[in-house]
Amino acid sequence: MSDVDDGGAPRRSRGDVLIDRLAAFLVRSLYREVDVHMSPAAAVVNGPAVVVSNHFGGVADALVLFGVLPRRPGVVARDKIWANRFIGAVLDALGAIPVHKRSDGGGGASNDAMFASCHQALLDGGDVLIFPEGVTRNEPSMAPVKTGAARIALGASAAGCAGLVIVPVGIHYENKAALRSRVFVNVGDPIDVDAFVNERAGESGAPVNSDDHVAVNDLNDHITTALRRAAPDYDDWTEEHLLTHAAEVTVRSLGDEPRARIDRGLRDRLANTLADRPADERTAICEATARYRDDLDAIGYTDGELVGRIGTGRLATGLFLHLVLGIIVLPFALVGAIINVIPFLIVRLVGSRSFSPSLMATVKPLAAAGAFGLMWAVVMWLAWRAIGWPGPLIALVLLPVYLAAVIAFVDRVTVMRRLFRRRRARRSGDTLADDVIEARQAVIEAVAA
Amino acid sequence: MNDLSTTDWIVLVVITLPFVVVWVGTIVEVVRRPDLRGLRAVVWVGALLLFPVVAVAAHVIVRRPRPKAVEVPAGPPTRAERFVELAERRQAGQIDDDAFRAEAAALVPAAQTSG
Repeated sequence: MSDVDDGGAPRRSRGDVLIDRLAAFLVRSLYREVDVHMSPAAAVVNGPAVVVSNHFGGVADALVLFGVLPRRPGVVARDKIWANRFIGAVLDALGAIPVHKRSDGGGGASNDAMFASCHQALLDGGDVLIFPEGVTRNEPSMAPVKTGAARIALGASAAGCAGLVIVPVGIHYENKAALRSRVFVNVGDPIDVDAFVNERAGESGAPVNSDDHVAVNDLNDHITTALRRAAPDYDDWTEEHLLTHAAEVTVRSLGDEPRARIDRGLRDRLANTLADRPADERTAICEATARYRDDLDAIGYTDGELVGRIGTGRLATGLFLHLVLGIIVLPFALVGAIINVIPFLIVRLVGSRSFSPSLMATVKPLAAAGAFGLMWAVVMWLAWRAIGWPGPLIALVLLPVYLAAVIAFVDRVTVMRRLFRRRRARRSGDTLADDVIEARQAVIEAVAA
Repeated sequence: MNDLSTTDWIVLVVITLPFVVVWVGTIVEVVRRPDLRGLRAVVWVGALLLFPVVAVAAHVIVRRPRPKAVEVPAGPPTRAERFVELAERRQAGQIDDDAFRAEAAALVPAAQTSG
């Protein structure tokens, strides 16, 4: 997984490099922020790896991991999506590996070819990415982990693949169906397959391979535990919101200086550990957080604003700075708005269709990439018609700038509206502040209990 | 300056100005990039100075994405990092609840003020 040159890895063609760049560009454009936390043990993995990840939204998950992982893995995907010839061609170009699912119909077609492809990719020193839940989720919890990943790993190990590890990855979306949302990728401690196989072989003396059901189930338990630690696994969305908020309050309170901005990765990791607490402790944290949140709502503050409030001139200065910034970016935002309004409306239209959240997480990025890509191509063509060869090049440089200006302008307006609201709520806020601070402290104490 | 037509002004503000900003930004980025040193850096800067349009566009296309998976811990872990790692150790069963509470209490501020 490491980025350093590893002689054993397959040589990457120019096409591969291009695909990596495209994936990185798409991820940067589609998501506002992509944070990665790699456990120290995962950062030094340099050999073949079976990457296992939770699965919220079809294409979005694979895209995010392509953009984040040091080496692009071969993705195991259900064969049904090859049905469309165009998508099939894209998947083949990406080196995706089709898996047959019994639930897709067609009886007991064999997956020998899939296992063989995975083993070959791993023996060549590459990585394989599999979503072992087998389905996309609309809930913030893990579906039962199927044994595919464990069988691939044990099979490859039996076929002579040395140094193999299983890397658990948790993808946390702030709002998975929204564009420009934030994503946090949590890469957990790798599972050493060699060590697992050696330990078992020492116990029983029999060879350990993918036909050994006890070994497969045992390894699958390891995978499940590792995934639950890395990936979101909450009872329901309410619990997810409350525990995440509790983690945010705690991380902010531990900052060296009170700041509105916090490390979202730390927040999501802490929230993940809270989700694993016993039920009564989780209830206590959720209740304290709900109380604090109600208090905040009553005075019109967010936690970041409450703690980040320093001095009295702050509000006016903040308003002024945002106003100046907004005026500076306004002309570029206007151009950006004119260029991007049509693709934006197309994506909105797609978004208004009632897809399930997980399907939306596939459809929306694709629609956005298509609509914005097409529009930008049109602008570049117009620029070429207008002034010749420098036109498209200048357009290529400036189009992202205009889009960024629109985003910056909208952000400024949002912040200013919040600041105005806060000023109105301020008088009542000051009298209530002590109670609210007490409620806040209760949240932190529940988390640290 | 007074001879500029409205169109000229629009071109100046909306196209030339941001392009110059990106151009300067690109030069600064190339100079400061740790992985681009020696002859290659000189060639890049030279190309950026001589052929701004082509070189800036080329940089947009070939620029390597920001380094993935930054795992170089910058300085000692912060209090928040230590707290989260503590919670993760408890989750993994490496420390028990009492050990967690004892260490967590040392990190968490006793009384919070609004600053």
